[in-house]
Amino acid sequence: MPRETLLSVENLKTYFFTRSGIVKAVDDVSFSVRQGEALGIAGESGCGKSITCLSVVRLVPQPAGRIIAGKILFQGEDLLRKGEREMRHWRGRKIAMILQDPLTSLNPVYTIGNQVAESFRLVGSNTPYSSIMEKVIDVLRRVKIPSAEQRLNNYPFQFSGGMSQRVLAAMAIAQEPRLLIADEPTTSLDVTIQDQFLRLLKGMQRETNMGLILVTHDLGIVAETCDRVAIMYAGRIVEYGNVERIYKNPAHPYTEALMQALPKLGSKRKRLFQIEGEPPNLLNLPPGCSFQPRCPKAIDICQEKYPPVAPLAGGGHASCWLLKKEVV
Amino acid sequence: MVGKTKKLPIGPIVLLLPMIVCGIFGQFFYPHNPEGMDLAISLRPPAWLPGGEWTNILGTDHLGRDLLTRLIAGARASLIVALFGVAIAGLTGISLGVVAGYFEGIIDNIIMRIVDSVMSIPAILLAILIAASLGPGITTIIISIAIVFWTAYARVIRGETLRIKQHDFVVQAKVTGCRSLRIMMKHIAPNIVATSMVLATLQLGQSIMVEAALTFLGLGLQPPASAWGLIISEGRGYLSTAWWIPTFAGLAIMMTVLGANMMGDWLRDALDPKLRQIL
Amino acid sequence: MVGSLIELQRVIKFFPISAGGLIHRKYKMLKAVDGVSFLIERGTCFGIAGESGSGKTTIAKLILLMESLTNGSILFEGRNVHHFTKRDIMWYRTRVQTIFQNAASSLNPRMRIRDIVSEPLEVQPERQPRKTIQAKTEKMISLVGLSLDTLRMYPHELSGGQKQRVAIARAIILEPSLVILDEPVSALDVSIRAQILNLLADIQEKQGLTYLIIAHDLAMLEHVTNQIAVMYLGKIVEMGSTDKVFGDPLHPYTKALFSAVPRPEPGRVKEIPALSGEIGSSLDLPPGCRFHPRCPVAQPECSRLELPLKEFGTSHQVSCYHASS
Repeated sequence: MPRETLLSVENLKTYFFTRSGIVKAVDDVSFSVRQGEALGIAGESGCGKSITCLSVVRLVPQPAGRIIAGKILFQGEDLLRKGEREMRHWRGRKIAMILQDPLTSLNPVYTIGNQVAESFRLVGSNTPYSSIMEKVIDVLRRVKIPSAEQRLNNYPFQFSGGMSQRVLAAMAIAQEPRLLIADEPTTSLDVTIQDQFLRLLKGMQRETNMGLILVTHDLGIVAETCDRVAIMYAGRIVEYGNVERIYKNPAHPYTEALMQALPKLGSKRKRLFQIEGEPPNLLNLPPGCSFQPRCPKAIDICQEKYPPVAPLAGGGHASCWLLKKEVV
Repeated sequence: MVGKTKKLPIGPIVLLLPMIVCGIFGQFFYPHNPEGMDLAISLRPPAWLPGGEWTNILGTDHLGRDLLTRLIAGARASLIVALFGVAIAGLTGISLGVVAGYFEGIIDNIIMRIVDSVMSIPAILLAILIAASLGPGITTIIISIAIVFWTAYARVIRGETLRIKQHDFVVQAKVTGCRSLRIMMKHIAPNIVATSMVLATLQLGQSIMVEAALTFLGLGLQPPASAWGLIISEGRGYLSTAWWIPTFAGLAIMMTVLGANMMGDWLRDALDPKLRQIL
Repeated sequence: MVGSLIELQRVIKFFPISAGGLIHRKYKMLKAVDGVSFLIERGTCFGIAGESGSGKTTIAKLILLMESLTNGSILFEGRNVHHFTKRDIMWYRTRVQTIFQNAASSLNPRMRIRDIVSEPLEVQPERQPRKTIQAKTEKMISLVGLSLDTLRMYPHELSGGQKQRVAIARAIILEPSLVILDEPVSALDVSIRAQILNLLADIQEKQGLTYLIIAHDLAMLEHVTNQIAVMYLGKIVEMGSTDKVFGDPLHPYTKALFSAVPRPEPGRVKEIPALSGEIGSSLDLPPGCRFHPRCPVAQPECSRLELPLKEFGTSHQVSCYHASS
């Protein structure tokens, strides 16, 4: 399968200008997604993963939030140079997004059929009703909703969480997008339903060869669904690369600590390895490396300057002074 | 919502501050005696019109009383009535609302049916009925306002109580063994303060209108007291000749009500995001 | 039974849900908990795993006396909770406490931390002197790893992890015997979960507590519990010592659950396909085994008869015709 680069984000900076100060929600973030590839963006709350996705589709909450630097190249074109009208053309069609809570993403007063049809109506205006409905049934079948035809007239409250999320997935892929961004799509779902949904996503990806960005805090999901991953902390990517390599050999102390702190099925220990301290307040970041107050391996220079990006032997990169010393 | 909510509610303050100052300290700076009649200068127009004098900036009424002085004096009556009326309405309504929302079931039903019954009577009509049976006077107006307005509190606060009950800390309090009274007073009541305040400011405006209407109809304050409603009522006959009498009184009422409403809006915006943040 | 702190015997909780009907309201029964029995020994940590509709939260509510039993009994230290007088219930409330999932909403935003933590002591009928209450509050706050400064703050000034610590302090200040933890860490950031779990383990040891943990995070449950029960649609399908159940899951649902949990192991092959269908509702239970519509190894007899929990080796029970290692 051809693996051309679909999306290439370079040095993206999205800041929020609030009364209490400037929040550097996304601070110099770079990554890329290829066709048919799944990139995971993993991190905890406040790390900037959601804002990064909103920045890509230019839906950052205004007026407080602004993309102040960087390039977002989608199939070669810089999205940041496009006007709002053009962006509307791209959103939903070339780049689609699924958000976290299916219950609030669906309008409770319209039927499911109606809402999915919306995704088709946006294209060319004079398509007859019956052919739109055919497409609706077809896409609902693709996301494996049983008895799709009969359920067209159901309302969202009649659908379970898992079903609703599939409906949203159907709406997202209606226009056959090249890139699908899913922001914590399974957080509110039960484990077995989450499993179904993630397999569905992977299946859809394989079918259409589209790119997938999966945002999550669950490192297990990343391991099972993604090919590459960007680990974010306090607005920056601290480690980036192949999922297999990172899980076997984490280069950044944060990644390493996270892996160790997770209770893992099948291995029972007396005490969990714990990371001290709390994730930082973005209004009051520590000097130098943002992770340094909690880092078990911090050295002096970590408090002075933020570490530069260091390429890694197995591919990918990480930002840590310890790596720089080794390379040097 | 950065930048949208002004830090200080300038508009409401500009409108309300003069009224409040007049209400509290007015008696110290009356230009004239509010009840001082001087038929020689009756129906004098405002100072900038022909026939007017700067000693009576806004003119005089049919008995020669200075209009500005009467308006300042009237502020006190209106504010006292509004504050006491809304306070009593608030306390009654909030208590009943919390009790209804907390206990639900039969108690809720009884209270809400009473609320529905009272609310089904048009406010002005109800006020008139009460005033008519109690006789005119300032206490009557306060009671009327309290009886008319408590229902709004009861409804809204009951809804808030139902919402707050869902939060874990209320459940936690029960599990710890707190008694109902304590839960209602310590856990639920402090969290409805914001909504109550917003409602109160909005009702302040409305109650001034009710007072004016009652007084206008002769059921509230009686002459020779100074009250905006009275001034309008007395000036009714002079609308085409001495228009300034009812007009300025009407303006005073309008400014106060507008100021109170704007304050209510500002309060809602100012407290809301914090509300969402906290609860 | 010696060592048994709390025991549930054939506990049943049905909720009548109105299903239409104008003159005569028709009701359907939501069988939230349908015949659950288990025993928690003193000093242990008992886990209940399950997804939505499994009834695990309802069990917590029943134990906390927030809901009344439809049938069955709950025995606390050998005494039937149903026969408790008002005074007994007040005593019971000091013996059983709870910590909720959402730390943020479990703290009254208008109260200072000091008052939140000391409240359980303040509402006791025999109030202790102010100084004693204050001393205990300070001791608890330190025990959960927070500075004394925290006492004068309001909840919104604290982070998620700190709020959960406050909730823990409040739960243990009465020195209860049993603490029910409903998803204690799932709303917290991943990097802090380990801190809180370790804290909970330390406190259990120091204060001699017994825990009942309800969660869906299987890896976490395996790590902290001694005994575990897996529930599905109101019934326990598999139960036993944590080592046994996790080491050798027998019930098809348990196996599917374990397989579905994402693990940080890239390239792991899942032999078991994803479970088909939805979780189902306790309102419309299928005949026979309630799991059979989704079960990959269902046989005809599964739709006819329901099996009670049966022993399968020591410390391991399962209710399935086709339980196998």
